[in-house]
Amino acid sequence: MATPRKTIRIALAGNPNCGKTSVFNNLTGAHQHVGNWPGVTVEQKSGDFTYDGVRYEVIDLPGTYSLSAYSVEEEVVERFLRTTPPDVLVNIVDATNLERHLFLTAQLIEQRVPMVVALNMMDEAEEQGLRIDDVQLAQLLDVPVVPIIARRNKGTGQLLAWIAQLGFEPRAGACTVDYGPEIEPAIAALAAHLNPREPASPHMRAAMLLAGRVVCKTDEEDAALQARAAALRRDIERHAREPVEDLFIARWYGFAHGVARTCVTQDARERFDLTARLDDVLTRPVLGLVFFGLCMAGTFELVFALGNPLIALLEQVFAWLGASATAVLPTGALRSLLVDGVIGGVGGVVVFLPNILLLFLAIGFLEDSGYMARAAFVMDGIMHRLGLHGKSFIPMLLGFGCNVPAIMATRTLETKRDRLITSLIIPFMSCGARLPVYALFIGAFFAPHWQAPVLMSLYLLGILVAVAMANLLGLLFFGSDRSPLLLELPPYRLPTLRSVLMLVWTRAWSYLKKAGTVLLAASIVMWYLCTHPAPPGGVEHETRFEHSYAGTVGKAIEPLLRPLGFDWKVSVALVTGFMAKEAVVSTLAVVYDVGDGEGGSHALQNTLREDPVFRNRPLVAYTLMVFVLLYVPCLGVIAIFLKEYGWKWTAFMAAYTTVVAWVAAFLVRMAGVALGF
Amino acid sequence: MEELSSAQQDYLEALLRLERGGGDGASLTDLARALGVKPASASQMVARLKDGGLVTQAPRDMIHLTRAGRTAAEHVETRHTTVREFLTKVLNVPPDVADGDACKVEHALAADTFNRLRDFMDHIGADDIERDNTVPLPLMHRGGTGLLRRIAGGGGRRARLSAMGVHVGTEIRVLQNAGRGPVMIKAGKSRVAIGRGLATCMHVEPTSDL
Ligand SMILES: Nc1nc2c(ncn2[C@@H]2O[C@H](COP(=O)(O)OP(=O)(O)OP(=O)(O)O)[C@@H](O)[C@H]2O)c(=O)[nH]1
Repeated sequence: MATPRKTIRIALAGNPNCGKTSVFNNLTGAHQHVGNWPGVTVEQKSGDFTYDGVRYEVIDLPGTYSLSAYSVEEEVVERFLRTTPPDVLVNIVDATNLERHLFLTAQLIEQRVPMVVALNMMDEAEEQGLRIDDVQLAQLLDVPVVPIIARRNKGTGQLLAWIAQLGFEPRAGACTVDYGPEIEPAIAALAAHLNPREPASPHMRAAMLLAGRVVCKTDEEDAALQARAAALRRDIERHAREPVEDLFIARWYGFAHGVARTCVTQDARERFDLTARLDDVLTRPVLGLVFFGLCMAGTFELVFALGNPLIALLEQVFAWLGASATAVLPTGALRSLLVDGVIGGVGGVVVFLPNILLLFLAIGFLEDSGYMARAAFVMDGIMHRLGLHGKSFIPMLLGFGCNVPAIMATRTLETKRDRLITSLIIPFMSCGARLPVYALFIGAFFAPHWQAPVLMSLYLLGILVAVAMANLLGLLFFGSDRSPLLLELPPYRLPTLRSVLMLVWTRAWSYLKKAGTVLLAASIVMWYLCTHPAPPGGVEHETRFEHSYAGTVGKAIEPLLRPLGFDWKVSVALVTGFMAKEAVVSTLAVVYDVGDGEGGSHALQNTLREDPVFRNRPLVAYTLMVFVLLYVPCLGVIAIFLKEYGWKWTAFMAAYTTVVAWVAAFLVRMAGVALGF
Repeated sequence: MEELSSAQQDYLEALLRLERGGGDGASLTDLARALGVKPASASQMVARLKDGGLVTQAPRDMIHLTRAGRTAAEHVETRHTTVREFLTKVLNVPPDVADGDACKVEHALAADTFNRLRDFMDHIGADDIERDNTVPLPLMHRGGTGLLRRIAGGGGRRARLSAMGVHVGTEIRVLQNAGRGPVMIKAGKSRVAIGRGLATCMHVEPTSDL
């Protein structure tokens, strides 16, 4: 038996939307979300599995169309392959569009890394009447080719077998792309000067250098090499009368075209093309927008119409829990902690789980079906007039789910300017975590038939502020040139139940985890701060709270928030909302000391309705929701911002969102008062 | 930078040419001769450019463009050559007439007009204009087909489009084109949405009615 030696590193590479995430899940058994729009995988993900007693590490690289380093993902992948080549590279190609996918393969083959080509989407290829000669393909590419159907986990076994074989007996194919008599001599001349100790193949590095794309920071003779490459490039361009880059493109394309022609045959039968039919209607100028509007309205309707009965059910569960705890436990600190702190605080948030799940169900469906890219297409015209980039639309839509992946998804934008502006306005996209706050206040202060419209108005307000800020930021910091829209529209696919449920499940799990950790901690801390120091004997709850630490903090901030109509209790809640927006709800539950007897959000809603700050004044509730919508999102967003843009932009983001929130809330209040609410 | 008067622009341009002509800077006499003015007025203007930080001149020494001056001069020159190219290549005006006209027109164009002119010249690929039968992609209607003949402009446009399956020489079909906003095309098996600006750089030879 082979002793388990080192771990074998596998990297998955391929075009966006080729099924990498699906293959990743098949290999590792992990539950990553798959999405049917290009660029869901924006960060390197890794997982591992054991096969035949050997540990394998799988790295899911971001999807790229080439390695030319025009976008962040391309840069990430190119650098990864150059500096830390994996033991085995799995190139996933879409059998239904082989020629285009081989364009990347042509560049990957140059890496001289042991490689397997996974020929994915064989089911769709067959449906379209495409016959692919995988034996010939393997011969031409000189690497193993495995036909698979990632979506149904077919072919994974064979793929694994090849990976294992290559892991133990590394063998890089001998196939190369011939760059022709103009370029090859120059590559050879450059390659001779490259540091042979570098991991990546000199031929490929020389080619990249020549194309003027790669800065090989690890080479000592960096500057000299660059100069040499530049001179060679000028020579070639003088002779060929074409940019070197175009020569490379032509060769890669020639390679892909030639191989695809040899290996693919198509029967002549006419077929019903669902994607073409749907696109014909759904992306028309007016119709497309109307349909998109309906989708959005439907989503909000769904969240409430279906969510509310489920919420009522959960409320009863927590009420029962609270009541039983009260009955069983003796009066004292423990009961107070459990009932007011834990059940009141955490329960107040957990009951909104149905809303969150339905929201993600809808987003997951839109994403997986391929409609999201169409939405970006129909919105591009409007987005442009609003001063935004059509492609920023997808991250913004994702922001309705959670701001953190949305900010990561901005990496698909090509320029730093577009990425920063989009990231800076994403916090105004109302994420799922804000929903419990709305649900609480909308449920308490608005009649049922007003609930969905009020909710939608908040989302729209977020979008409006985002657009205004994008323009302002663009003017202030970045000038106005924008990179053009260039977006692939994947075929429509019926989302698999598994993938949608997986998304909903991961979200549910992370929500519950958050409730069980951050929010639980926040609730306990809040409970402590609200009940200590112990009040001078036998005072009412109201005054007891005023004397507590939390009361003191709230009082300290109150002057700042007074103009918005908030008192010190709300102020405390807003401070904790900085950790996670749901904490606003759990904090209010603790602060108002509900949780006894009735439990759940119902009790809190009743209490709020009677509170002097809110009594009969939906306006104050609305102002509060506006503030919650707009102010600094949460620690998660701060963390991702720090990682992506550094502390200066992070500090700016935190400060400006808070200022915007304050101003917007103030204006809403003024307008409301003027209108007589 | 402040708006430069047209005379100032002419001076900068002349200085740029003289510097390119070789030698170290330009003397006042050369400059005056190049512009057909008296040395006295040239000296006055040079003093003003000096105040504006566009040129340097030690007493009784040669005149040099500063970095800002060079940028401004190059800017003026681009305007000049763009207008000239338009006149010679598109309107077929003889070069000497075009040169004279360009001198006058270049100052009169609003920035936006000039940008449009430049975009147009970029679009038709001013270097070697082929009078072919291509049209820019946005002019094709929904349902039209054609062969992609050229992708004008640099910045990796060709590389990015090619990698997405949109190659020069492939047949494309226009799936949606609303007259504004992006254009949706099918090239080979890929469906791609392309922003209008980028689409304008793509020259298509129609194989159907537009
Ligand atoms: N019919 C069919 N669909 C598949 C197959 N493999 C993946 N898909 C679908 O293709 C879409 C994209 O799959 P992903 O796994 O998210 O692709 P990806 O390459 O990770 O995409 P990005 O993360 O966007 O780069 C999903 O809707 C999958 O359900 C397959 O073999 N057959």
